[in-house]
Amino acid sequence: MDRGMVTGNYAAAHGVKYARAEVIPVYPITPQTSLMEKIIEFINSGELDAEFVPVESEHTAMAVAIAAEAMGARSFTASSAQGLVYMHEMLFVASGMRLPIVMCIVNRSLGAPNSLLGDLQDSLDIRDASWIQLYAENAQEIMDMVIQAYKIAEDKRVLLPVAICYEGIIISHCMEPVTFLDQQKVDQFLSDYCPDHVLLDPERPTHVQAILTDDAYYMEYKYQQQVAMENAKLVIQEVDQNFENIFGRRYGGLLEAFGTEDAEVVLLTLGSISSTARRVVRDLREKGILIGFVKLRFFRPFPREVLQSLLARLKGVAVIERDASIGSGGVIYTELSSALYMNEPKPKIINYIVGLGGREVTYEALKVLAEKTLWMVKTETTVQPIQWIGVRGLS
Amino acid sequence: MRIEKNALGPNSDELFSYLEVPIGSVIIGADSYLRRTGQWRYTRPLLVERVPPCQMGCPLGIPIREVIGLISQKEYEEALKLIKEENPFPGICGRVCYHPCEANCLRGEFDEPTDINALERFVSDRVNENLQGHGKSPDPSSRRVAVIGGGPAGLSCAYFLGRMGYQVTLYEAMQLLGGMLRIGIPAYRLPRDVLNREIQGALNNGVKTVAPAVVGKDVTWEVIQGYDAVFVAIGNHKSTKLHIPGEEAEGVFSGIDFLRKVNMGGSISLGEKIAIIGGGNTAIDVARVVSRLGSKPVILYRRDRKEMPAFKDEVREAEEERIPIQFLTVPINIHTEKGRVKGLECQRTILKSEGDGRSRIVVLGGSNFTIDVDAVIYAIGEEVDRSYLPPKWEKAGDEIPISPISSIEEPGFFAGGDMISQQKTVVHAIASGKLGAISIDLYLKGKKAEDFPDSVPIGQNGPISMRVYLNHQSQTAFRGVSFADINTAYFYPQPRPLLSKLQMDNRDSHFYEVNLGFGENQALEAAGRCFHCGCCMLCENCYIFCPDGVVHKNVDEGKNVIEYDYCKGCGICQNECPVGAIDMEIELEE
Repeated sequence: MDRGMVTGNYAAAHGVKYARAEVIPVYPITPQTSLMEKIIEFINSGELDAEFVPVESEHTAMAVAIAAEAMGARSFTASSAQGLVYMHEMLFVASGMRLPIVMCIVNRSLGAPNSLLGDLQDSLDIRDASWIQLYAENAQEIMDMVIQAYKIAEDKRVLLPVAICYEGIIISHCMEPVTFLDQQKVDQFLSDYCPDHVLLDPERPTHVQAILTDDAYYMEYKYQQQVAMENAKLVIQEVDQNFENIFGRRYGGLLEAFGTEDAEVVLLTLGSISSTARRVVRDLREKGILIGFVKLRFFRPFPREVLQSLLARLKGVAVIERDASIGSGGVIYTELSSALYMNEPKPKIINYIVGLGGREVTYEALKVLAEKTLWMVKTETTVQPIQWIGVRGLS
Repeated sequence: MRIEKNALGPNSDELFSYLEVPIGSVIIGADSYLRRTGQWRYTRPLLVERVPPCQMGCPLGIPIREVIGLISQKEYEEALKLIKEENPFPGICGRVCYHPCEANCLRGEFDEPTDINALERFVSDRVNENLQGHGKSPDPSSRRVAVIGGGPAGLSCAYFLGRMGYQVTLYEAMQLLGGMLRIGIPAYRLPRDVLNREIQGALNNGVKTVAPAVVGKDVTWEVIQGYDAVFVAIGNHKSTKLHIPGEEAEGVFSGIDFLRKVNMGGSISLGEKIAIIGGGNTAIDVARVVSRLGSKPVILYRRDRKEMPAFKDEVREAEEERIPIQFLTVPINIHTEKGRVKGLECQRTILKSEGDGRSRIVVLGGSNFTIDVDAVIYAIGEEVDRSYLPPKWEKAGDEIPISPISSIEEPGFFAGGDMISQQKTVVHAIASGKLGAISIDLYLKGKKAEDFPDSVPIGQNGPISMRVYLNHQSQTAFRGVSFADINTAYFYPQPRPLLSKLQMDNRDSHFYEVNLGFGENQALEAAGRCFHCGCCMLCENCYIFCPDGVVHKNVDEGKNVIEYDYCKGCGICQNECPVGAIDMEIELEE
């Protein structure tokens, strides 16, 4: 099998090429730009037969993607931070029209102050846009998840857009070894996009993005989206299995976990921190410490039921995340707490807010957080549940 | 075309569950009035047809835009028919008209005006048929009208009256019809076959001609008064005198007499060196004729180039033919020897500008000089020869006024052409003939001046139109088109096609036509440059740019239609219309 070194952005571009996207409107923004450039290279070299649309803004990028998808063309776009926020309005149109667009969100901190480095603030900000959101931790996962994303999104039970999120610079710009895919196998895995729900066709005039001047069916439309999001949980697992059957790799679907069967404490994280956290947990387990690891892969749909069954009987969960809903806590922490609240017994959940603005989260730092959580559980100490880690001047 | 009002989906009355709602915000149910986005609108676009500036500028109100449209479609015969509803003489005007239409042409503000004049000539020469007449004799029971004077005004009046079915008798003092067209315009500008062809066409409607017959001598005014109405257009055929010593000598001619003799085939002995006095079109024509007769002309004009009343094109052509013009020169004395011209004593002048008008001429004392000449031809202006008119009209002022319906001095008499107070051009003469025909028609129907319909002029205060008068063209009350209405982003600069001219070698001793006109390819290229101001040309811009897709193209007899139920009145169509054919109208709330 062909292997090579690529950055996260290039891996995403390869995924787009494998998925045979047809219309690609993108507005450049650091750290997404090299992804766009690689796609243009593929189009210029003839490796990808797609229409690249140079748009004047992210808002238009999504508008073009919506229009293309509504014409039955598989479309792709990508953005970061301020660009993504500028696109915000159109995100709701895409999901409301049930258009299975796939977008890479190369995570970058939202200004001000401006940072070119990454945290998850931007993608978590679009939490309620009815987009499926997944977080990848390395180049291989990005490449694989692009084609999986189309298969999930275009499934007739789902028909929702998918955002593939990964941290800017640390994943987007660092080279990692990947195994390239076999186009024939990809074609076998992912068939053509053939919509029959929303399709602009001059022979069959219709009115999409309806204006409901009375509220008659708004709730029905929204409940359909809720059902689709619930269906996605099953479809994600099916696609993961399907992918393994063809390519021999699996990611665990909604989440990846190990050690939860005997652990007292679990480190739960997502994105690039997962790699480091996985190593910390393995090392501690080798020393006989009862600790487990959960990597949240999909944030939407939120894997409520799986998390309940995995975590309810534990003593403690450390949620380590690169984001903060200022005035509350980490977004994942809030969601997880809500998911486990009705369980009895339920673990104590500690929220560690780390690495905002791309600040480095090291092996040692994670190890300290693991030990801190283990100590808290062992001594049954009551602690402040939401903790900002590494803030200068804060002990 | 079918406009789908009801989108796909079940009727909303039939839905009982979220499972039945179509996926993806597809509209459901029957058309709802509430969904008609046209309600948001407070201005609406109107597809309008505006009067183009070329037509407004043409004293004859020829529908130039439509004519050029027909030329573009190679419908030359139809184009000629359309012109001839307003102008009996396209072949003549296409050569000698000073084309104010082109001065008005909005393309002139972009690069260069459309070649309207040359296209008019092209159509006439191309079709080369007498289409204008029905060739039938008028009903003997219809009213009888006398037209006195066979120049452009009289011929035009006779032509239009003939078309309206009147019995017309045309009296011409000279042997041949044409008036100033024949005697004043040399053949190198207006070939005789073109002139004869178009005059014959104008008479085709059963007009009787009596020529030569001088009214007042050969035919008495009492006979004329026996007609039901009379149109008088005897023109200005008397040259204004120089009033300097030696004027009566042998070898001094008036410009009009000279041209008349040459153009009517008479012989004239001039000598070698000829001074021509004056700066108008007659002076230029005289000089060019003199040059062709083998003599050496020099034009003397007391003002400077920019104050010359002659048309610029003709001055340029004269200079191409190396005819010298001495500006700021005024003749004061004709020297004679044995009663024959020997020299011309002149003085220099300077011009003192006085406000906005023409400047004042100051003669420089002591600047006298004499040039050797064998003949002097003066062409400093023409006036009406009153000896032809009934004595009682001599009380009238310098120029005889005309107004619709009212007669000159007595009921039923109307006047036109150069003898009335208007610009002395061919096109204005033809227009006065048309106005005369309309006036006579109204008079004979017992109408009064106040009955003169407001709808006869084109647009607002535009030229008098026979098509409008006869209801062949509806009166459009919309405003005209200005350059600001044209979206020039949709046009690219393109020079006028080159007009072929006779080579210099062939101009010396011949009266061959100098301007050779357009061939078909040049004509189509010239027609393609027309902006088509103020009239939809089905370019589909409105259809393409409408964000709501409410412009439907070619629905109704090739016209675009706006679906107002859904038009939000954004005005993009108006902005993107290249030709200014869309107006935004403010809609008042009911």
